[in-house]
Amino acid sequence: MKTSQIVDQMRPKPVTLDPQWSASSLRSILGSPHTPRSQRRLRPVVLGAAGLVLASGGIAYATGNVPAFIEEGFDEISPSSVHDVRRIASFNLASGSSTREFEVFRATNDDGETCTITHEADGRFGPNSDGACAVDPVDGWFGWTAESARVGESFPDATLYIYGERPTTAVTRVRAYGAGFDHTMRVDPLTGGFATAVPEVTLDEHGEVAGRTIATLDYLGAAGSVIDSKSIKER
Amino acid sequence: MDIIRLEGVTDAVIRALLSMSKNQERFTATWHAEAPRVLAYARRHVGAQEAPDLVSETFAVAWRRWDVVPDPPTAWLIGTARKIISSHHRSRTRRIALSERLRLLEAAATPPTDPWRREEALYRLVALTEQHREALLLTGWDGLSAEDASSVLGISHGAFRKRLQRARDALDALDDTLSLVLTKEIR
Repeated sequence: MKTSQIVDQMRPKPVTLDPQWSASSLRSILGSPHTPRSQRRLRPVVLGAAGLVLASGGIAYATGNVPAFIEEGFDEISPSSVHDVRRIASFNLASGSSTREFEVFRATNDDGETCTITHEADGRFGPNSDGACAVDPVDGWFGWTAESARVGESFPDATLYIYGERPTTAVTRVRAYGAGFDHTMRVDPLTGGFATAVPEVTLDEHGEVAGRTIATLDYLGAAGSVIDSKSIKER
Repeated sequence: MDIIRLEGVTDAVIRALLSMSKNQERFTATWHAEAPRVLAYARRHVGAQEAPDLVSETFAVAWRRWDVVPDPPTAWLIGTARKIISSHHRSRTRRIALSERLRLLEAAATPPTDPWRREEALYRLVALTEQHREALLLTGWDGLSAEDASSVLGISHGAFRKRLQRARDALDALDDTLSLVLTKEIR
């Protein structure tokens, strides 16, 4: 028997819901705001390549052209439609004798969330993107560079990066500091974005940062004064 | 039957109330019919402990956007759960080691009669790329049609069929030494 047939045979048995959990979850969801269904809509149709090009062409990007695959990436991670897609920052990461470049894009969606995608055009195994949507303001986010593993390899280390958009136009630089690192990022005057890699931070054996606070961010004005400050931490 | 109209209650209000009740009724039926399926999908990706939260989050999105949820809703719900996983759970997902992926699949799978073949099949499954593994399991384990699975993955039907075939070929073609390598790697 082929392995694929054995995998098919291992199809999980149907699961049942815990009645108490089911009732309380349903009650809680039904108690939240919703959009009434006025009429049944047709199933969405997956567009071919031409459709995707047309779709991306219909979006007005605030800053230059954003590649179609970035928009597709936002569609992948966002539960609702995205708009206002733009590139806000980039950062480099030294890797041996070469440099890896990452670009950060952001968008907002119909659920009021901000979504970001970090893209590495020349990734280890080709172009690589990673993203997330959340309700948090985007004035100070962090992520880990996407690293791919192949079977037989140990899982490679990812590198922390910090990024965001300045909270006010008076901010010209952002200082990010914590245990063993202190970086000052220049804010891009066109996009208001900033980003930096923080290779000094390592994960413990559980894949977490020791302590939960990743960094403190100081938002600096032109004269170097601290306009605002915030901490970013693991949830 | 006498209809009593309360003062100030317009036709629009009555229609809205009736519509709300019907929406709630339909959503409740959808919850009972589809939540177990979404739960099974969630368990495979985030484990039994976090899976109920993911199901709640998925259906909360469905309720919030009830006007766009198609009928039947299965592919939409699984697709939304997938997006939530890749978004909110991204740090954890990326850091997931091969051994953790294997553990999640082992916990979800039904034990076949031959435990050795099961172990080998799971090793091979975990060694596939995520794209190939998802193509196989959305149809094989989640019971989605090829059309629904392509909708979940956001690719055309034709592209999905090719991906599924490549996944099956990759699963069946991996040579026997792989399981030995993985055994050494994971244990």
